Amino acid sequence: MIAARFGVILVVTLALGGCAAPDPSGPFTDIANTASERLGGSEVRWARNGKDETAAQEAIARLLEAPLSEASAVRIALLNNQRLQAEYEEIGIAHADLVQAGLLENPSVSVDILAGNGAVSPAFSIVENVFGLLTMPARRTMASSTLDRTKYAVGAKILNTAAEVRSAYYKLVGDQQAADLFHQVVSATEAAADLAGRQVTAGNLNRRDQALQQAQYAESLVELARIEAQLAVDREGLNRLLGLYGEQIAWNLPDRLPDVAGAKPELEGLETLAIEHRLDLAGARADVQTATYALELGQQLRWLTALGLGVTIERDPGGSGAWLKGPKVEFSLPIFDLGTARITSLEAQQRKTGKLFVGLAVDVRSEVREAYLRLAAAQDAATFYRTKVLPLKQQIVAENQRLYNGMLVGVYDLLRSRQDQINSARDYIGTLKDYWIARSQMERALAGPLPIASADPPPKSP
Amino acid sequence: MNGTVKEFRLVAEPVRREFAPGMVVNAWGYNGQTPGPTIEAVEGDRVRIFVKNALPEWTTVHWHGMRLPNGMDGVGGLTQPHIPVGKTGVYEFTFEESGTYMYHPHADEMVQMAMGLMGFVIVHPKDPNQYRADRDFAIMLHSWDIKPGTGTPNPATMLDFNMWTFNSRVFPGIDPMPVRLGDRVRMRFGNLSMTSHPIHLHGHHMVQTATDGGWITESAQTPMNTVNVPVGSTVTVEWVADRPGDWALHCHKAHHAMNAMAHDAPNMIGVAQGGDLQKRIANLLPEYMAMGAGGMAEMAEMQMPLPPNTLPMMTGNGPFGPIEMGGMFTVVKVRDGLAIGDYRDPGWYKHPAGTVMRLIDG
Ligand SMILES: [Cu+2]
Repeated sequence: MIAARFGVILVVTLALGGCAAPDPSGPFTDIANTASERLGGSEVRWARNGKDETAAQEAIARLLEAPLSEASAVRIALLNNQRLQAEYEEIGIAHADLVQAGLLENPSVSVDILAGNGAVSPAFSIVENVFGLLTMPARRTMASSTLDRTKYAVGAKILNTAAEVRSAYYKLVGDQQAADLFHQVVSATEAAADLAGRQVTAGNLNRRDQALQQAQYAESLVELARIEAQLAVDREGLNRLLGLYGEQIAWNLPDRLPDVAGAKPELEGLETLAIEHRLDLAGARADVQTATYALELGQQLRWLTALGLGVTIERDPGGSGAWLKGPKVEFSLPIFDLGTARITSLEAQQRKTGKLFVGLAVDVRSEVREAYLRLAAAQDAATFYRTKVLPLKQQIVAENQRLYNGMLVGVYDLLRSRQDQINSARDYIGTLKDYWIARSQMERALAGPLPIASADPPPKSP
Repeated sequence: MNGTVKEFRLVAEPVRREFAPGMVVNAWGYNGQTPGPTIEAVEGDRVRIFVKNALPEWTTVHWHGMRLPNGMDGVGGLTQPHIPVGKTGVYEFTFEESGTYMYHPHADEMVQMAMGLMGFVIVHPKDPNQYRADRDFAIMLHSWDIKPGTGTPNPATMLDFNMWTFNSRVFPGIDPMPVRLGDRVRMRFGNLSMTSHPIHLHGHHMVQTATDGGWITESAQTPMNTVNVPVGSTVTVEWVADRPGDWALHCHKAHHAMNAMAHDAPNMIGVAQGGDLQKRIANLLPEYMAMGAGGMAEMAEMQMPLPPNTLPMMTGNGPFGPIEMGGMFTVVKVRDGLAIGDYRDPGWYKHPAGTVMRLIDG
């Protein structure tokens, strides 16, 4: 009986032992294609050797030649963010585990020397292989599930990284544009201070009034320095996301943010879309299936042994969002433990995965609504600024110019109203920046592009 | 005439008054105009004046300077009930003395006068040869605060007026005053503004012949070129037009011969603003031109866009260039050979050769 089983095991072992090194390209391509499609076609590549690395660096160099666009920033990050690439390696690890799960452990032979009555008789045992054989389908299912969840986690990481890149990119472009405008504020305060100095020279202004103009100029210079320092900090944030260093960091940005694109989105349907598309939710759904399977298996094998099948689904407490552990299979000999507690644990774990899934789904829906509110508010604000506030500020300057023409206001008032207009333009850029960041957040929440109707054609100005 | 009574009808109402082409004011007036029509009658006339109130609030009419029964004096609450909106008040009394008087409300007086409710009463002597003049002008002086770009006077203003008017018009919207060479010219000024106006006539001597208290005896008349018109008074001057030409007549408070301007704008006189600075400001404000360094004359020369319903601070053109005035300024045109009663503008004076200032080099 034992000899016969040994023969079977040997055949299986030989068949699997002939395999080459595991190739995780397939599983990676699956999730890479999904992520790429969700990112509007941005290429997702996993550099696994020097050749891949060289190709990636060449692509990055080409992308950095032109002013950085949102798309090129995302592409560079996907090619070059080493933490993301490290995440890709998880697929390699999980895939290798899956292959490993298809192998039986090498037979281990135990020799017991029984001594008694002056005689010694050795006994050989291959008992463990019996368990390995019996539990192989379970282990393979578990490892496959681990690989699935790793794929979802990697996919989510790709999309989240892309959203982070987009947010950082739009923040930087917007802040850069606002900073450029602030140079005009500095020009205005500088001109006013200059005029005040000339008035003093002519004997028309006292020192106090001159000092007021000089102080405004000085303050605007301090503000400019603060703005530029913040820009440099923001730029470093993007450098980190894009994985850039050395000569690569001398990239340029476009001068301005794009205008609000498209009509205002509708909230209807977005929550459902997110539930369908979110990859972290797909991972949680896979956990439920795994735990359910583990429970069923545990119940079936209970007569044989207390077969331990567990699912550990804890998040990395470091905050990376990665799954630390996958399912595991445990064995124990049914000497003291007849498996009752184990089944209770599997039931609890199954319920736990279900609750986590529902909890995440609730969060996802809320995230979509929140992103929608931010986006809609930013879009309203940007549109209102563009169509109402800015024309009014422009009109104020034009009317002040007319008053100045009639010597009805002075040049300082005229310059101040221009400053005020420029500051409103900076506020507008701020709302536009909020809009684009909110769009990035919305796309993160949806795990894909925001379905958006094209805008109505702008009304012709009279 | 109604029997032996001369009847006049005044309707107090909101009116639109053009101060000069380019500026129309939302004022209050009588019979569609400000100042209201001049009420002219003869010493000893019995008059009945119907005052219909088409204003948005009650009103009265006070007959400023006239001697009359107390109950006809027009002080709301004191000597009569107010005339409510939509009602008509009837004043009836005898014009006892010849002279120059005014009429204006004595109800919510500050607002109603600031809005332009005012007019002249001129009582002629019974004997047409007494105090006879060949040409007789009546000019009501007033001040208004109308913020540039608006059209409604601000009645709350006490000092910072920006429009100064002859008969609710400003230069260059004031007609010239054609006068025949040799005419004895009478000019009656009334002042319902809140400051006095020294009215100056170029090229002639004049004498003050009356106040709103009556005629001044010849022995008490002093010669003058400038007559101060006090607040709440009428002043009458006379002069003989013996010098042909285009003679300025204006208030000598220089700001009163200007249209609206800023009084708190930075003083740029003598301040070099050109070159690089001009360019830097123009980068921010493409229409910007540095102004005021040499004075404000450039204001009259440049025709830059102004706020709507706003007149240039100084404007008007004469035969030799910009006149650079506004407000209480006009031209008395003394000409030989004008027909009696011809008040048409005779055009610019043609100076005899060699009688105009000439320029020399240096
Ligand atoms: Cu004056």
